[in-house]
Amino acid sequence: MNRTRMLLGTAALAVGVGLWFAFTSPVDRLQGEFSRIVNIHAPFLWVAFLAFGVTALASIMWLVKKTPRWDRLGEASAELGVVFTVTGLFTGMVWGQAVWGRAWDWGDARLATTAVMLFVYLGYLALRGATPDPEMRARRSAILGTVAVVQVPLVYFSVYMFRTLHQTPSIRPDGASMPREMLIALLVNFLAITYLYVALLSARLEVARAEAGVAGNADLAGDAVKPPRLAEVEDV
Amino acid sequence: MSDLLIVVGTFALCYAVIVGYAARLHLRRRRVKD
Amino acid sequence: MSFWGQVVEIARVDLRIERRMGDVLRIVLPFAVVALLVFPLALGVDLSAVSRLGPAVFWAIGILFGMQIALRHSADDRPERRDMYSLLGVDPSARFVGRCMSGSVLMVVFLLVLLVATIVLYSPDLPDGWLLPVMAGLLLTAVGLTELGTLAGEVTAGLRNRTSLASLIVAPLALPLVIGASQTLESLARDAGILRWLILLVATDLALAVAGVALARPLEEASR
Repeated sequence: MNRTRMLLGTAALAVGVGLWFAFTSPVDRLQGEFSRIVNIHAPFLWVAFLAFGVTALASIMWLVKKTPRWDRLGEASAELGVVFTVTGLFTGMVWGQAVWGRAWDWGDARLATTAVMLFVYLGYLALRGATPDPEMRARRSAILGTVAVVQVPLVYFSVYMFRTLHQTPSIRPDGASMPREMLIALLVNFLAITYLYVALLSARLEVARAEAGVAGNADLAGDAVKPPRLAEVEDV
Repeated sequence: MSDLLIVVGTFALCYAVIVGYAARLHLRRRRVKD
Repeated sequence: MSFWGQVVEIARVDLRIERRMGDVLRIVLPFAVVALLVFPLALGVDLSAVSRLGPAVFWAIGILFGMQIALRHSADDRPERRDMYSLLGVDPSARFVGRCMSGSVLMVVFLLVLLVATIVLYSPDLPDGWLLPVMAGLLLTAVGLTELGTLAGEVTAGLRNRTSLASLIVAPLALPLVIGASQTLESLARDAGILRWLILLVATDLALAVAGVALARPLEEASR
């Protein structure tokens, strides 16, 4: 059984354990069942930021080293980043609407930054999709990834300053005052979902490597025909 | 009860997306192998 | 030729080309003014709300439409022009800075005209001493937006859907500029400190300048 399949299998198990914890932990008095959502909302958004960081790092490394593996890593992490950001934001909207009657919280700087990050991802992937030449694609996405890493912290600060000035405190709790069992459930899910990201990344990289290998073999049609070597020709 | 249903539905939807993504990866992998 | 000599020369050539065949003042600016008209009509708000919306709408439209200036066609270098620049030994960073300089000039003109149009159409309540802070914010925003747009333009050079793709790239990253610019005026109206917002704008401009210069060489190779 290859490594990726093993990773995915154990990740699925870990997620299962996380789900068990999420649904057997006590609920918050005020939020009721909806407090369980934090067990996917927070970890998914954490992975979204992690994936963004990996893409940013891969972009800078590609500019330094210029090897294809960094480009593949950037692309893979960006794709996963989109998946986790969209689902993370979705869970946040369900939670916000159900508990506070508002799907979006302008007071939360992290939320706005996450939304910005999503569009940066989408722009990154759109740029990749629009650039046919592999070398050019790698270079351009690496540049975009590097610029994003510079700008996104500024985005966070600007929204944070905006929120502080307008004195709109975040309606979502920071989670610091959770009972122990809830914290344990959350921690288990953080670990499981991070592991899931790693497993999916491995799977995605495997596909990328395979596709690159095939593309590499398609360089020259004439290569498929090789002249016979004398030792191979037996019945002369 | 309906609250729990919404919560379960949210979890299910999110993990369905993940599984769907993994399935797409698997199909891409199979296509490359051929 | 010295670095700054190259920068100024590139900016001059850019502006000359834009004057001859450009669309910034002929198309982008009128389009933005039309957008100013669309807002109150679409929102159906009463007059007092319109004047309160004025500054916000100005910055929103200024930035969304203004980014088209950095992506203007006259700034999309053909391969021949790029080859000419490299044959002449032009420093890639000088090309970036020069491009930003010409773009900023156009952007400032654009924003100034838009500002006048906003004041006329929206009659906003402007607090005392608004001119200097707003001008500072306008200048800093123009520079930052141009830097961002120039980077996005280079990274999408020669692509089919360059304008929309580059706009998608610029828009989310331009948030600090939107916030910094609009909050400068709003803080002034509230008698709160404006310095932090101007510092935010300066920080953004500096960060983008550093990124642009540091990435100038890979950018040049990327946009052939």
